Amino acid sequence: MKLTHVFLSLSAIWPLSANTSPLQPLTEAEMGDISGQNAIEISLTLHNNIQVKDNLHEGLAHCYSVGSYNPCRLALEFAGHEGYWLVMKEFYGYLQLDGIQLEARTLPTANTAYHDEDRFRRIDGQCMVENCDPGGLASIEMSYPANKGPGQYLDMQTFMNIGRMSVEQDESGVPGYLLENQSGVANAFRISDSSGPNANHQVRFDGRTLIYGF
Amino acid sequence: MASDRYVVLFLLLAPASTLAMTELDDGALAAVSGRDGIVLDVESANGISAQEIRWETDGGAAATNNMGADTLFRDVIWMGDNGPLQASLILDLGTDQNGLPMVGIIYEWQPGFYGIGAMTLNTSTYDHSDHSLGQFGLWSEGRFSLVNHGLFSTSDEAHAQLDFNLHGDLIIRQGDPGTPELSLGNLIFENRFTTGVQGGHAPGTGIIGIDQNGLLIKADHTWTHLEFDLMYKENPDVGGRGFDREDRSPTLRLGWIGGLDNATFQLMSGGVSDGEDPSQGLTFRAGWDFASDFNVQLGHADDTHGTLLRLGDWRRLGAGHPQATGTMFGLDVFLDVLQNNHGPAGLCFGGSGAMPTPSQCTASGGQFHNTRVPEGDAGFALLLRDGHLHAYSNRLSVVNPGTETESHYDFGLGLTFGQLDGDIILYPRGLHGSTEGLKLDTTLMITSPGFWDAAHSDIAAEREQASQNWYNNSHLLLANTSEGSRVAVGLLNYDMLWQTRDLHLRIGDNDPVFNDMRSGVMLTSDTHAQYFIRGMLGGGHLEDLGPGRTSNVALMQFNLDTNRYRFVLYPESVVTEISGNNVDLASIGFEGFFELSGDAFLTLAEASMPQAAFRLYDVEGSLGWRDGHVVLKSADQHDDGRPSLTVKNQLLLGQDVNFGGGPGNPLVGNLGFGDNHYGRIAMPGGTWHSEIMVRVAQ
Repeated sequence: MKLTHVFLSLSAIWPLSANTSPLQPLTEAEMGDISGQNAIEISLTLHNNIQVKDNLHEGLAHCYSVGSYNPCRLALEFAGHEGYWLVMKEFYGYLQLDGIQLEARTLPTANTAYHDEDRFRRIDGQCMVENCDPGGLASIEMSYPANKGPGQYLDMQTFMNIGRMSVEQDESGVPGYLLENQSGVANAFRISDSSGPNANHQVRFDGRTLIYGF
Repeated sequence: MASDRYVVLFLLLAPASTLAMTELDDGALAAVSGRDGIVLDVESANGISAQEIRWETDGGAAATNNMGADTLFRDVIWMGDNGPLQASLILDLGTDQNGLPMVGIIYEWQPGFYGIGAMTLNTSTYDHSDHSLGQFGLWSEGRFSLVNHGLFSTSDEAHAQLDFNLHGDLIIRQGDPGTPELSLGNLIFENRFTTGVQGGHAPGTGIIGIDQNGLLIKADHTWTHLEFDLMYKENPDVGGRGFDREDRSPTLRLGWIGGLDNATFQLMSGGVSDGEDPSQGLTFRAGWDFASDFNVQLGHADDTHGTLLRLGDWRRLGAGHPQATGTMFGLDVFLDVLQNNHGPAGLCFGGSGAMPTPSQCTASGGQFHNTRVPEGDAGFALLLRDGHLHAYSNRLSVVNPGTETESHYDFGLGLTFGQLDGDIILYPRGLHGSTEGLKLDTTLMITSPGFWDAAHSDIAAEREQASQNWYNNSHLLLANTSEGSRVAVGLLNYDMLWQTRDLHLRIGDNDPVFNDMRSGVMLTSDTHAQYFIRGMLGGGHLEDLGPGRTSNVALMQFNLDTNRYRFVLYPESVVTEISGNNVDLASIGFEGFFELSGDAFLTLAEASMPQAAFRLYDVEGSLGWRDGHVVLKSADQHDDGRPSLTVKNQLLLGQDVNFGGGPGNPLVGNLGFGDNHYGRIAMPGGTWHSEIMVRVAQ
C-alpha cells in the first residue's frame, strides 16, 4: 500500500480571500471582483482524560487509582495471543494544532531532479498513472503560516502520558483490559516539555506537503 | 360585516368528505356580491371549525383489501388572530392585451390561525384512531393570485400568472397546550412566475393546468423565497390553544431564496404499486434548475449577532458533458397508507439496476433493503424515488450582521445526489405512555449507482472506468473555485445509507433512561439506527472528475451501526467574544448516545488494489456526545476580518458515557489489513474534548 496517500478529510469550509459588497444579488461586475488564492485554516484542540491548565495539565481524578481499575486506558490484544492484553494505563493527553492551512492544488507538470517514473509502475511494469507522471493531478496542499517569528514553536503542542504499561490476562470471563491484576510496570511513556510539569511539547513546521493518490 | 359568514370558500380548501360546519344562512349569502367580478368576503368572530375531516382511500377503513384507509384530521380550526377571521376571494373575467379571455382569482387572508388538533389513520388492519402524529398550528397572512386562460390550461402557450406569498409561524407539538413546541418561526414562503434573472424577476407567465396525469404547474422562470427560524419553547403558554409565539428560543435560520428555472411541479393521483395497479394516494413530481441568483442560507437565528452563510452561484456538475442532461434537481414523492406487510418493492443500495428484485440487486453489486409495515400494523408511507441534485454551489458568502454586508469567497461546496431513493414509514405513535408522536422506519439512500462495485472489480480496466458516470453521481466536494484553480477535494462517487427502525421523533421529552441528557428535539431508537457512507477520498478538477482525471487517495467506508441511539438538538446560548465583548449568541446545541452494535466499521483501501485495506471492524461499545455547539462568526466579528466556524463538544467513550443510565460499555474492535487479522483494540473509557475552528487563511 502506498502510504503516501494520507488524506485529511476534515469537514471544513474552504473560503478564500474576501471582499465586501452590499446585501443584494451579485452583478456580473461584482462577481468579477471576487478574487483570492488563499486557503482555509484549521485549528484543532483535542484533549483526552485531562484537565487543561496551561503547562500544568492534570489527568482527570478518576484516572489515578493505582492498585485498582480505572477506565483511562488503551489496550491491544494481538492475534495468536488471545486473552492477553497489553494495557496502557493512566492514558491521557493533549493535542493542539494551530493554523494548518489546506488548499486544493494541481500538481506541477515540471519535474524536479528527484523525479523517478519507476515509482509509478505496477509490478508488471505498467504505469499506474498516465505516462507514469502524476503531474496535473489534483492534490491537497498542507502548509503552515510562513510568517512565524524566531522562537515561535506553537504550530503543534502536545502532551501525552501513559503512566504504566503491563499485560493483563482475561480472567473468569472478564477481559484483561478491565482488570488490574498486574501492579507492576513494564514500561511508561511521556511526551512533554521540560518547561513545566506536564507542559506541552512544542513543534514548529515549515514548508508544505502535497497529498495525492492514484 | 355584521354576521358570521361561512362561505363556500372553505369548501374549496377542504379536501374532505366530512365537515362539521354551520350551514350557510341568508345573511351569509348576502355577502356574495357582484361587481365586474365576484367578491366573496369571509368574516367570522368565532372562526370556523370541523370536528373531523376524513380522507378515504381504496375503500376506506372498512375495506379488507390491505389497502383501504381513512386519514383523519381532528379538531380543525380556522380563526382570526386577535380579531375576527377575515379573508376574501375575488373571481374576475377579462382579456389580455391580445384579446384572449382570462380568468383571475385572488385570495387574500388577514392574520389568522389554522390548527389541526390531531392527524392519524384508521385501517381494518390497525386502528390508530386514538393516536396522533401531533398537533399543528399555522399563524399566517398572505395572498394568492392566479390569472389564467381558463381556470386551468395546459396549452403550450404559457398564459398563467402566479403570485403567492405567506408570512407566519408554523408550530408543532406532541401534546396539549403547554407541552414543548417546535416552530418554523418568522416563516416566509413566496413563489411567483417571473421573467427570470435577466428580466429582473418581473411578473412572468407559465402553465397551470390539469391533464390526464393531474395538476401541472410549469414555468421557465420563477422566484422562490422559503425562509424560517428554527425555534423552540420549553414551557409555552397554555392560554387559548397554546401555539405560543412569544419569547421562543431561536436556533438556526434557514433559507432557500432566488430564481428557479425550467421548473415543473406535478400533483398526481396514485400511490404505492404492490405488483398491481397503484393504490389511491398522492404523487408529487418536481424538478428545476437553479438560477444564478439562487442561494441556500444557513446560520444563527440571532437578529443582533447572528452570522449567515449563503451558498450561491449554483452550477450543473459536468456542464457541457453530452450526457449531463436534465434538470439540476428532481424528485418524485409518493404519499400513501401501507399495512399488513404490503408495501413497495424495496430499494437497492449501490447496485447499477433501476428497481431490481433482491437477486438482481445482489447480482449487480448492490445490497437489497426491504422496508415493510409489520403484519397487523399500518402506517403512512412517504416514498422518495429518482431524486437527484446534480449541482454544486460555486460561491460562498458570509453575511456580516454588524454592517449588513456580504463577504464573498471563491469557495465551492458540493453535496450532489446522484440517485436519491427512500422508503419511510410514519406511524402515529408516542413513547413513554403517550399515544401522540411520530415513529419512523426509514431506509434513505443517496447513491452513485454501480461505482463501488466497479471500483472493487478484479479487472483493472473496470476499476479504472468506475467513475465514468461521475457527472450524475454523488460527491461531497470542497473546491477552490477561482478560475485559475477549479480544483475540488472530498469524497467522490459516494453512497450513503440512513436506515432506522422504531425511531421516534420526540419534542421536549426527558428520556427516562438517559435523564441527564438535555431535552429538545430528539431522535431515539432502542432497535436500530445506521449511518453508512462509502466512496473515494480524492480530488480533481470540477470540470472533469472522470476516469483517469482524479487523484484517488483511498476507498473509504464508515459504518456507524447502533442498536441504541439518541440524538438531541436544543437551543443553546453560547457566550461568544465579539469585538471585545462577551455576548450571548443564540445557537444550537447537540448531544448524542450511540451503542455500537458490533457491526460498526471503518476501512481505508488502496484505490488500485482494493483488497489492500486497513480495517477496524466489528466495533462494539458506547459512544457519546455532550455539550456540543456550533458558533459562526463573520468577518467583522473578528479583529483580523476573517470569518470562522467553530464546532465544540465532548466525545465520551465506553464507560465514561453516562447520561444518568449508568456507565456505558467498553469500546472494543478488531484490527486487520486485507485478509489478515492483527488483533483487537480496546478503550474502556475516555473523555475527549474537541474544538475545531475553520477560518479563512491570512
